[in-house]
Amino acid sequence: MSHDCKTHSFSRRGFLSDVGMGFTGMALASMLHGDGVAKPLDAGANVGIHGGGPLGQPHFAPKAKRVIWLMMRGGVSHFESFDPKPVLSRYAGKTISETPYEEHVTNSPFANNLREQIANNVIKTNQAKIWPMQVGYEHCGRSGVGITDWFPHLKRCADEIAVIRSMWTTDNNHGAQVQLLSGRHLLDGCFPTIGAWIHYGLGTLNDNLPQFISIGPPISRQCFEGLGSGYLGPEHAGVRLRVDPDDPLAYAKPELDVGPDEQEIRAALLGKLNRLTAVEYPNDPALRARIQSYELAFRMQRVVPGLLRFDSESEPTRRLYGLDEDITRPFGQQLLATRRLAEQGVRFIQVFHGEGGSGEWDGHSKFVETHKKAAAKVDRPIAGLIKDLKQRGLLEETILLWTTEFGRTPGVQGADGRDHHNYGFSIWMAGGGVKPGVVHGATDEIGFHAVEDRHYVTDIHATVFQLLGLDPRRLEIPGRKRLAIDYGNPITDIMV
Amino acid sequence: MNTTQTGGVRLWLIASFVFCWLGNGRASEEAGSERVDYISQIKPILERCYGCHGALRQRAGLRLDAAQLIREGGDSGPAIEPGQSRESLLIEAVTGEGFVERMPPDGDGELLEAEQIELLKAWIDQGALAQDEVVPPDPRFHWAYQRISRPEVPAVRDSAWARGPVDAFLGSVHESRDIRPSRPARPEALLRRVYLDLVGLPPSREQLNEFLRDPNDQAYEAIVDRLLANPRYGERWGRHWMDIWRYSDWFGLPNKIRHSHRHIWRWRDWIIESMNQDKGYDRMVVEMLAGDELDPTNSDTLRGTGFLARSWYLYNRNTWLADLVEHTGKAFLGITFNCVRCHEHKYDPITHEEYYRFRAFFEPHDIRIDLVGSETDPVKDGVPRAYDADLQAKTYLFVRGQEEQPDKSREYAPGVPAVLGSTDGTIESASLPVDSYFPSLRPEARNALIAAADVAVDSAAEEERKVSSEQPLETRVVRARLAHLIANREALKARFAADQAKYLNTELDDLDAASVENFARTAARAERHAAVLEAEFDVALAEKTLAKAKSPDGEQAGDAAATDEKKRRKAIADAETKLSATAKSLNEAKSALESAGSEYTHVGKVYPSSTTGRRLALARWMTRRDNPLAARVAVNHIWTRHFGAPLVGSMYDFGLRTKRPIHHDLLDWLAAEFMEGGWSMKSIHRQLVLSNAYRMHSGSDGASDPRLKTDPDNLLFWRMNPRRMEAELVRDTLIYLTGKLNSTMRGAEIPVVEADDGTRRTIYYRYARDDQIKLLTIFDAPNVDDCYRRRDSIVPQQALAMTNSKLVLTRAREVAARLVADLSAAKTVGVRGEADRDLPDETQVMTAAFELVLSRRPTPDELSVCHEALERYEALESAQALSPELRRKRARENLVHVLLNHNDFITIR
Repeated sequence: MSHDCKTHSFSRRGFLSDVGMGFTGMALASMLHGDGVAKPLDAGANVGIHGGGPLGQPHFAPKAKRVIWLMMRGGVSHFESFDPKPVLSRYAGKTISETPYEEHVTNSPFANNLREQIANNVIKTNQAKIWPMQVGYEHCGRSGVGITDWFPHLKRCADEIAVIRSMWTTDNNHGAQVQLLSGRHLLDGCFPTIGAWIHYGLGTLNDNLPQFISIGPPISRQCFEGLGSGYLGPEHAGVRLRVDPDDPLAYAKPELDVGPDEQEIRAALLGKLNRLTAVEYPNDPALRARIQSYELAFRMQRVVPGLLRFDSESEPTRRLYGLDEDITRPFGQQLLATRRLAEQGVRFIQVFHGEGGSGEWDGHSKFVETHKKAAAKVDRPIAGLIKDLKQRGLLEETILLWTTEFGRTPGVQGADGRDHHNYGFSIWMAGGGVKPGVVHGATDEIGFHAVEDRHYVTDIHATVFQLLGLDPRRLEIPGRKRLAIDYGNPITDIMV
Repeated sequence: MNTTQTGGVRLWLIASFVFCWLGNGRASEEAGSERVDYISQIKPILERCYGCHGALRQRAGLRLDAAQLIREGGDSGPAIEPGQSRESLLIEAVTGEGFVERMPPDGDGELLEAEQIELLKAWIDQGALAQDEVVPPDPRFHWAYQRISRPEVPAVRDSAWARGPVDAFLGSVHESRDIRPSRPARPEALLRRVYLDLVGLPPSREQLNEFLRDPNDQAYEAIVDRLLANPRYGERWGRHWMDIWRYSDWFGLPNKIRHSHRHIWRWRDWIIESMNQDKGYDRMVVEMLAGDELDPTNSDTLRGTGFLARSWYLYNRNTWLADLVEHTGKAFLGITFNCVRCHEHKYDPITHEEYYRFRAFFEPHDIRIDLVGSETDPVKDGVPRAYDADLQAKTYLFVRGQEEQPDKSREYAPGVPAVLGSTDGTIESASLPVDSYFPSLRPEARNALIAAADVAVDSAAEEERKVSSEQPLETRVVRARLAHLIANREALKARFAADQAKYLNTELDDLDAASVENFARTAARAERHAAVLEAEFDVALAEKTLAKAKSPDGEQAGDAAATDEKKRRKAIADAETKLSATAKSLNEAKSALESAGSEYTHVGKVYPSSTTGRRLALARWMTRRDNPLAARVAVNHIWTRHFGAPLVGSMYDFGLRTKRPIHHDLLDWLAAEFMEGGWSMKSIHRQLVLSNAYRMHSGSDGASDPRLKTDPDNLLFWRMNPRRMEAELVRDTLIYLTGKLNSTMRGAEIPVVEADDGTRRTIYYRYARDDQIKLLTIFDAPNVDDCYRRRDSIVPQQALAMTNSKLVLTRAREVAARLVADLSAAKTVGVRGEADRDLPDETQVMTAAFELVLSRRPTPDELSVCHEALERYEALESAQALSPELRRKRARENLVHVLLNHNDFITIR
């Protein structure tokens, strides 16, 4: 949908006139953010288009300053996680029509909230037989929120999190992953993701690090791996980081043999040559920005790999994240890396869990086996992350989200699965500005439709904006009309 | 509209005095709230109302686009009662609390937010203070809607600077603003600029040194002409237009394409060829929108309609047409149609109805793939092309743009927005030649189909020869197949004869209806005969399957045998069912043969034999001399890509929000020149790149150049704008510098995975929404859905890619090797006249590397830092460990790699 895909990424007007080019971190910060590198439109070059842009700081007092967004790819069953429904077991084997809830489901106006990528993608709701709860659950914490036995560690965190049980979306296929992050259905095209918006709206917390980082198996390449910045410009896109100390960042190390000393000589020579050019072109903002981009890149490639080494982490901390067990180690490493990045000043960290094209949580068949295993992989590390953030005083300034693209059907698919379900599902939030230990919203008796305090996915975005002190309407880019639903509404009930 | 407006203006003027006085006299500081400012706080809220209550339209007789008009009000009286928000109609309307209709009307925009309403109330309660304003003029007089006349070339004081009209126009602006144009660029910077600009590749060292020997005007002009004649020009500029025309290879799933079309690369080739031939832009527009109506049997021309095929969308015809209408408007006319699909245009004088009239031009069309050459499978090759599929297609207005709510009370005929004129005369439909509406009857298509039938027969005959007589069942099957394929071929020929008689020979006197009928009967009979033989083949096959099921090969022991027995019984049962079905089919085929009449299957699809002429009328209107927009929009695109900044900033929107540009006369002169010069792009390129303006230095005179203060954004073009290479140029140039760039043109898109090692120009690789070369995405490759102007961002990811990617590192090594080889060869033949040694020294290599990579020679300072770096490198332990030859090689590779990362490699100065 971008109309004018050329946007100057630096402001000619804001160009500083010092030619010494001895950039300090401060100068760099002001260049990249405060001084308008992030400005989307160059008023001069766009005669006739209104200007505008972010401040590089919050619009009002924030409750938190960074975001950690966990995304369980594939679609976690809300039943077998945070919205258990014992009634499913009572009506097991019956179709929905044979339950007292038929009216609720089929005649609900909410049933219209569906826009299929591929027609008739989902099993026939009314013909599928209700499948009982596949795992037990307990009422946990002060709120008594039901959490299933597949998440034993998170049960003990119930008093830290705010569970939202009334999410809905319109895509019943995995394009919903992109929808959750961008607010738009895949068929609408690729729109900026929430991480890109935050990156665009706020300044940097650390000059040596990218401010929007994405970890874990990416969403398939639809809409640029779920970290795209669309019309906000590629400088606001997420940087993918592999939690692999050998190769954590795209092109972070030479792909052919070039030694570090050689690299240093190259970088030094490049810096000198570019500065000599700056003598002839003393007022070229692009030249200056390029010199700085190389310097940031050079610093990034030095800092980032170190951040992903865990040698300095104590044994208890490693255990907290489950690095001592095979099943929890991979995701535990990702979350430990996440905490280190958060600590070092990365603004928005997005962590995907679940390999495979559609994601590990996509329980169409062998549901119990796959969901139970996936839960076992993430439960302990996530609980560990919450505790670790808390004990370091980071939790109160961090918004932590646990999300998935949709829930799963109450009815059985095939012999042993649940299909995609976009009409109602659960997520939770924790951290700065979030009320701990509450449950908000509800699905109907059989967990079909979100019925109480319903939230479309952009309400999560609105909540994050609000907690970070940003007014998304003030970030709007001229010519990029956003609809009311793109903004959503903050979920004030879960906010302190 | 005109008369009421004039009358209205008089009334408003009188009224405004009264209300001004009232307003000013009743200023109060209600509720102790802060003074609300009309200009900064109220006007922005009301702007959304201007579409219906402003210069464009005056619903209910009300205008809100000037303070005095708000006070004046409309048919229901004053919109506000200063000091009394509760009594004000405006507040009733926006709150929906009162007797007037709620505003904005349902479906016509979002309601005002509570804070905005509070502001309005406070402003009114404070007395509605506001100065009278200039009343916005009649939109029909908007600059971009006026016919383009050729402005007189102004006289300038510095006539030496003004080489031609472009300079004269810019010069007169410079003089009137008292700003001095920049000095000329260095010859080497100019040379690199014009090379990259026109062909997308830098000059070679030889070309550089030749020009530097005597960089005079004639030499420069000759270079420009050579570059414009170089086929690389079409690849460079074709890509620019592919951005604007939204080129995209198909995307979706290979078996279920969602957007664009297979073989759309033929349109890409058409674009490149058209650019190289300097086909008139007017002709290009006609071929893209209506090539099928213009030249219906010429498959070269039909490729142009790829513009239409690109917007094809599997799931929703309405989305498809909406995209097409929107981007036809933006690309060719600088009109934004997107919002007017749902409601009246908020800014421009285009009505909701006019949107649907415009859509009606496209309503009948659809996309199909015509076979080319001897190909018989449209999946393998063909030309995606437009044609009018539904000549009766009706266009209805969708209420609020919602496709499920067509207003069937009125049908819309094609038409252009009235403010832009009209397509004169009625739109005439035209009949099409048979080759066009029945493409299978083209001789090549016929020959290809029959040849394919021959091949099938030949291979069946070969089978039949090989089959052993000891396999009676198999023999029967093979013979039946052969008989069936022969009959098929004969039927195909008979059907061709019948179709040819019917469609090709209708005008011959000696072939009367009876003989057409005879051909049809023969075809019908042959076809049914073939069907009988096919049914016999099926029966034979079924009998063989049954026999096999009854006596399977080999024996199994134990449990396996038991399972197999079960399977065997099922197989027998299945085969028996199949056999009786085929026998039944055979009987049916036989009785069909007996009752054969003259009905037969056409040899291919027969499309409508005429076309509505709608798109042709639209395209011709667009490129008429009196169209105010097409030429302006096009020359603005061309200018932008030469000068790095546009004359009109909003490339795709020349509507009311876009103010008359500073360089309006220059724009119009170029547009007039373009149209009157046969819409030749190459002659516009010449006008631009031969101007003095183009040859200016891209920097300032020192850091304290006063022009940086006067015009920091270079709106006056007092200097050249440096630009960043587009993504494609980065890759192309890297390969070009190694000497390995493959100059092959045309052909199907090359898979992305081949790009890293591949040496074709980037334009020939697949480019779709979900499938792009990674390096391109890092360098702001175009959005396939919409890209009227590229970004040129500068981000660390680019630095990492250029420093560390295998692609750049490998190419750097190749460039270094080539450089040394060239220098050694030159030494040997003594080109540089200093062949005292066989091997070049480091200063020579450094100099040559600068020449090759940056198209300039190094300064002494640059040489000295390079030498320093060299010494530092040689002192490294890792370097010491290498042999002297390898060490030197490595050092040179390092140097080349650094230069490829140099700002002035990726920058077009």
